[in-house]
Amino acid sequence: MGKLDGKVAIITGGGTGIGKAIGKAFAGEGCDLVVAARNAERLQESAAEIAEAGVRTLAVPTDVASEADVIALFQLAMSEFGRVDILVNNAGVIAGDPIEELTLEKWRLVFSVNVDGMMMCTREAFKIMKPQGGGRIINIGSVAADRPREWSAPYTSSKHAVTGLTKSTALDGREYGISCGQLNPGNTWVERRADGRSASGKDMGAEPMVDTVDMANAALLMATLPPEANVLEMTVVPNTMTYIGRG
Amino acid sequence: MGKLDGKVAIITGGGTGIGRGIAESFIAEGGIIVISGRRAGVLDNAKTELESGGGTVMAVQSDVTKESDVISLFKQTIDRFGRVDILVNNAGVAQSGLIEDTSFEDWQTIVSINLSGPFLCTREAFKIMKPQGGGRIINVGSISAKVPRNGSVGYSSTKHGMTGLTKSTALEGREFGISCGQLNPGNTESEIMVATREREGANANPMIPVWTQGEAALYMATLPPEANVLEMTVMPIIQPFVGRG
Repeated sequence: MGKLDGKVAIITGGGTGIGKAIGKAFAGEGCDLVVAARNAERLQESAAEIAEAGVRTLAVPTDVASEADVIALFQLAMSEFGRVDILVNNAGVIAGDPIEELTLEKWRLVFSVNVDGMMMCTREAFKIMKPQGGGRIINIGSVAADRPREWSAPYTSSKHAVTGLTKSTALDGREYGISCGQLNPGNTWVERRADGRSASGKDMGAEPMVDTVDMANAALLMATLPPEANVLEMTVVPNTMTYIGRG
Repeated sequence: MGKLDGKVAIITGGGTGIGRGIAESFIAEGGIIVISGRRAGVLDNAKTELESGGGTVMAVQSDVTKESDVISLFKQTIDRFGRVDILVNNAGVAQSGLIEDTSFEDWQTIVSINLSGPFLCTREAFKIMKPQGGGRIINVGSISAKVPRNGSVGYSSTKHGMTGLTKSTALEGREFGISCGQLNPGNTESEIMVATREREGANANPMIPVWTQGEAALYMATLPPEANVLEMTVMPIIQPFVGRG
């Protein structure tokens, strides 16, 4: 008996990193999964790994910045599974430069994925979850939703916007049994970080990291609370990360 | 194999409410539990019930506002178990009243229990955890650490103060392997809140079961030592909190 038996979850950005780890954690508790990501090859690999837990898995190549892609993602999920209990808004990109060198193109790219994409997935989920009688939305924020690092203006601004979207979603969903919470990861061992470079691309040297499995277990805790309870926000960081003090 | 096998956890205010719920979650994962509280009878009942499914519980009558009590709580724990892996600063009181009606005595009382108590426990824990090579401190705050409710000046102020204590503890503990995180519960079915609900009837705010907070604290406690939940808010979905006013 898994804690998520019979549930259906959509995870964006599920081809790698935290999204993939969340997929495996949910599958381990019996959850059927719709995994979305842009890179079709990595997506298929991830979906195959997740399916090893014995759950039904649907891989849908998706660019969350594309409205048509997002609508198609939710349509496919509904035609395959008939419901969506959990949405994990995990897809995100990181780009940054010193502010004076920032192009509007880079700024818009980050917002189109991290904010526009999250809004569209949330909107499509609401269209399903409201008549369905409820659901749970988990937004992956970042410690940058609270405090920036150098050269990360687009990322930090977009993650602060995610906090606003989380709060609005929680408020608008409340009377319909739709909960929304935000998981803010600190430095996490995702593939992108393997070269030791920081989120923004600036070389910060070796930084302490949390394993993706621990981050996924945080999302699992959020997903397995009873429907009347919600983790509104949660920050999971490496103990020794330079974050708690000033500067 | 429990996730807390061999770990020693002190839970202040562990005889009732959320503290008791945390104790239940910890003992289910093999933790050795020390519960402290002011009322011996309540503690003894809690000890008996907690031990009914197996496990070890020590009950220590202790008032967190008394320095000598806190020192004794940690000494008794070390004497019996030799270490302290986890401290849950859970003991606290709520107090309501408009600002102009709040006596200085009432203010000093709530500051003593909700802030001075956790400070004293944290200090004693540091004296053990630093030479021991690390440990984990979980502070039970409140959503009042973020946004107050009307007529809660003492409670909201002390819970905001606890956020400062959490951050300072996390910062000073960092290089010694001591982590500190804060769990902020919304309305939860503790004994006090259930009594409030019975009094308020249909006007009462929604509440979530105590075990949800216990499981949240358990998650915080079972992360590997290099990872920390710095803050976490667990609340009823329909509790009026997310919006304004």
